[in-house]
Amino acid sequence: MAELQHLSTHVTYADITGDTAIFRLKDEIDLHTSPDLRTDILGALTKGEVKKLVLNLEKVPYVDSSAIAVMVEALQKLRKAGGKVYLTNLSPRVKGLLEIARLDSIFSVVANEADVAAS
Amino acid sequence: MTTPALRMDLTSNPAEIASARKSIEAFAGAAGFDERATADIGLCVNEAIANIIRHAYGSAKDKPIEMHADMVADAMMITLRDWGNGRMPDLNKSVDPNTLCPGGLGLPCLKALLDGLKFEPQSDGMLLRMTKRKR
Repeated sequence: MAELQHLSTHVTYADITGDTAIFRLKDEIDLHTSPDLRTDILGALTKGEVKKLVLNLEKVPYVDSSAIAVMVEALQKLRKAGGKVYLTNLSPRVKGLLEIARLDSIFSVVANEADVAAS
Repeated sequence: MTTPALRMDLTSNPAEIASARKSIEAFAGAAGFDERATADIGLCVNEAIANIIRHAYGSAKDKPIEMHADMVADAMMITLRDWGNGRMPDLNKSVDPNTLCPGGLGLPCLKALLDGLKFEPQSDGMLLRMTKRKR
């Protein structure tokens, strides 16, 4: 397990085991807070051989397009290594924004973290 | 009974986006918009202010933004005034999922969720008019 230090307050849990990085996030994420999240997530992708990034959004009631942009940037990086970004536990509001932005199909949206292993 | 107009004087500090969004959502709820439309209005204000901060003010945090909202019949009229570079956005730009570009998602959201969207360049900035009707 890689060590992840100095994470933003929006990260309640982070772990990298093997090729999988898991982030459990909380609270609303907008232009004010997404830069810290970007640092956390893109920083994790430089550790080890991450090919699966799992973002658990169960405790995230709201995101704006700046948060979606962070996810897209992570996906850009992972795709170069043949990887994927998994979004789990999406609220209807977050799912709705992905649909509006027509980006719901580029991520692997699954119900929960357990479904990532099965996918 | 009419809903009193909402006016907020903001700065371009991203920390103020959440309070602007929550204020406009409370205003929309009081005006009788349903939960979905209220959330859409909040997101549009969020995205519009974020665009002003990033593009009109180049991410400076101390510039003024005025927000005004009022109900006219069954429509909410929202204006956002800034004193930035006054540059018109490319309204024809759309999101192409295949290109995986992290930026440029805000404007497509505004176009998808609003009934009216008009950028009026001013001599010293921009006036953005947004309209959302009750269904």
